[in-house]
Amino acid sequence: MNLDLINLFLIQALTIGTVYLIATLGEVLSERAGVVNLGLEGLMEIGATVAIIVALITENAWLGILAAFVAAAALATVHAFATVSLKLNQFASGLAIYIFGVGIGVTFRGYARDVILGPQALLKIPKIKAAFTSIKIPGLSNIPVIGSLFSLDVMAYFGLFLGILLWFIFYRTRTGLNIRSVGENPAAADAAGINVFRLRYITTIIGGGLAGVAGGYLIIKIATQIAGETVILGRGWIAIALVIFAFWDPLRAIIGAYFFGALEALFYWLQGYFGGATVVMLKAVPHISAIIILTIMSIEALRKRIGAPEALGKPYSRE
Amino acid sequence: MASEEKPPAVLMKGIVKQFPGVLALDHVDFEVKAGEIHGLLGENGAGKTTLMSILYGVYKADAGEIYIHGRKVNIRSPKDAIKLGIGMVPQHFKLVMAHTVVENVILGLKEFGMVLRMKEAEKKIVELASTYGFKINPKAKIWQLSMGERQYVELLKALIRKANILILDEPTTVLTPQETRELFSTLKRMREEGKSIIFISHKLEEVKELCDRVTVLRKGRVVGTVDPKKVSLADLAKMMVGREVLFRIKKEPRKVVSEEPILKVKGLYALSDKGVMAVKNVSLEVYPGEILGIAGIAGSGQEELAEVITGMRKAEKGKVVIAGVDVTNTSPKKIFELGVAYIPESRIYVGTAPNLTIWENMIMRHHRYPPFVKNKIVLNLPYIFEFAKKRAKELNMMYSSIFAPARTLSGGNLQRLILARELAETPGRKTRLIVAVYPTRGLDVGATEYVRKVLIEQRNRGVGVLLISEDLEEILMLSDRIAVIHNGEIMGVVKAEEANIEEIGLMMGGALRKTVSEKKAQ
Repeated sequence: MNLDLINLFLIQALTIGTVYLIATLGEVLSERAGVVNLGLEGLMEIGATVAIIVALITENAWLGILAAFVAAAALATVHAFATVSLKLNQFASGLAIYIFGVGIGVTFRGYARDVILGPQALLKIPKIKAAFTSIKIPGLSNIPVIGSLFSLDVMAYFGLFLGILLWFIFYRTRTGLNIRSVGENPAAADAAGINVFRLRYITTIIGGGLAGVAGGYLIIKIATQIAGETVILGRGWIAIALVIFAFWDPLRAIIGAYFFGALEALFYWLQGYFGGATVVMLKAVPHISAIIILTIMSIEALRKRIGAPEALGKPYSRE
Repeated sequence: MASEEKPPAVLMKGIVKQFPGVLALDHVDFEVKAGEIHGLLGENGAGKTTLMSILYGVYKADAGEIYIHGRKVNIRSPKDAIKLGIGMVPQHFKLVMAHTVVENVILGLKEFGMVLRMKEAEKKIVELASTYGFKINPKAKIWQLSMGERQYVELLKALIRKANILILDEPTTVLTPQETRELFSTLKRMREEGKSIIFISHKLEEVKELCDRVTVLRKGRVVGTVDPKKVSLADLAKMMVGREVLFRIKKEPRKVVSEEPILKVKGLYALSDKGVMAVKNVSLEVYPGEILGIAGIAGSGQEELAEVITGMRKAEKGKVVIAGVDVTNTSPKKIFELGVAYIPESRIYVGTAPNLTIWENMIMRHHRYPPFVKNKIVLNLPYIFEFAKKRAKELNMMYSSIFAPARTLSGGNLQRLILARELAETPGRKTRLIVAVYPTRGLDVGATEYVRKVLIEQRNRGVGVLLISEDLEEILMLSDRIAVIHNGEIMGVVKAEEANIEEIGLMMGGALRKTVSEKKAQ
């Protein structure tokens, strides 16, 4: 294998890794305050649809990403309302968001492609993709192999920055202490004068918005046409699993997301050698991770042993 | 002691609070002088916590006025209370277990900046602690701390918010006698610093020892405010309950003596819900006709131990033998059939199904067997209704109808319902062992006396009783032998008549280990 191939592989791994990273960080934020959002997949799908449509209409990828954030955040608000205000089961609400998000996202994308955008919109795709061309850091990007780490696009750098920022917020700031405390023991936080409900709304909404950004980035980055079927392909579920593998730590989430990005890239490469079987295996991964997520989340003892936020999944109400 | 010119730290006048169906507080007047430790004494449901919740802004009074340091105030939320310098140490600590002491103490405070200045906060906490004569490691995680230390963290939370009126709600419930003494000296030191302390309790001795004045509440009314040094314990008890109270339950010497233990636990290990080893190498025996008390701070593994014995929790290692039958990791059903009565810690949810009716709860474990069931499938309702009414009467239950849901019962009556069911004897089943976990927790004096009497009665007729309680008084009063548990291990077993409260306290705190001489109970 020559160096170019390795470079190509790394860039692919880091790109997919960035999708995972942004979605995972969003879920980490939400779960740290005690709200599980199993609707990540749906939020990413909605984000993808809104991003591509807005980007193509405005011919601006960044407006697309922004719109994706807003749309997914809006849907996450529904989740926050259901679980924080109405105190409904977070799993049930999350699954509803998942089904709704994927359904509406895919259907509306197909409708927009055929009715709103029309065939000439496809011609604009290369233009909006240009927003995500790699930025080569002078000098560093020329180093063989690891040079690819310094020739990423803006969103990849944003993902890294976001991970470090979240870590800093969680462990070094007052807001972070508030968020962590709300996720561990909302009654204690409430007694200390922290508005548990407001904080959970904010983290759930921003976390959901980030999932939308991940979906938007994914579709614009990989698009050659406007797909009338799901583009997320279970990556939302893997991102939720990554939250657990990262033990709710943003820095570990960076490592986990890139590792899964590499794994997925590896599958695509193996496909070239072994054919369709690897694709079937790849498609099974999200479903397997969904089962693992639900199992882990449901077993109280297991959750405690792996250090999940104590109040994760539990609605809070004052006695 | 406070000088007379100073306005009282707290003055509550004519406080009325109505809850649906009950008048919780009926024109209560309450005064705390600056720089005194003021006891607030009363039974469960007397209104102590409600009164303090009003002072702390959790509830709003329907009528009445509050003055803090002579100034009339309107306290709408705990935030207002904190601003007025009122601090509360709740009975159930509100701490984040996974976080450190500093993180818990500064939670919600703005003075350490947006990017938290942790070093500064740590220093301040250590200083504050040393002002009042205690030590704490600010970097320790709460779960690593003892109950006594956790209480200090709650105190620090109030102190760092500059509280000069401190409310402590039943603070000694979770402490060993030694920890209680340390807490008292800290509180006295706070009094010297000019702080006013409100000490909520139902333990007469403690109030007498610590407080400058005591206000006694009964059924939402003030019975009186007295100097506890000038009245006897019996007088205080009478004020609190409204009648004479038996301090000692008459206990005859053991009559039924047997060489064969009814319960034998050997080398038992079990995990807690969190997956840590909660019961470690526990061996003990309960003989027919004796009460073996297990003393220990709540959460020392005694709940898990009881659950393993009754088949509700898996044993990792070791053996449980009941009436000669090895029942380790069998089933609650089999253990029940052997004649084990279980009075669980949680009366609602484990002890009863709150939404089912009284009669359903009354037969819940018996319903599999005749005469409760005909042809193994159809419930024998006429017999069951008769049985439920009979048992309810035998245990003096107060209830509207056996068709009412169990959740409508008060704590004392719910406990009577559980006793009525668990101790019911049917042709196929005699009670041989009672496993009672915190059987009087949260009950009023009357119900407590009743439950204790039932346990003694059962013992006298030859039933073995394993009594788990956090109330050392209760353990000493009822037990024939006392086993002390600390951190999942039995620290020693002593005979009740040779028991020394000091020694038991040290064992509860893990400081003393007595070589267990597992003698045959005489």
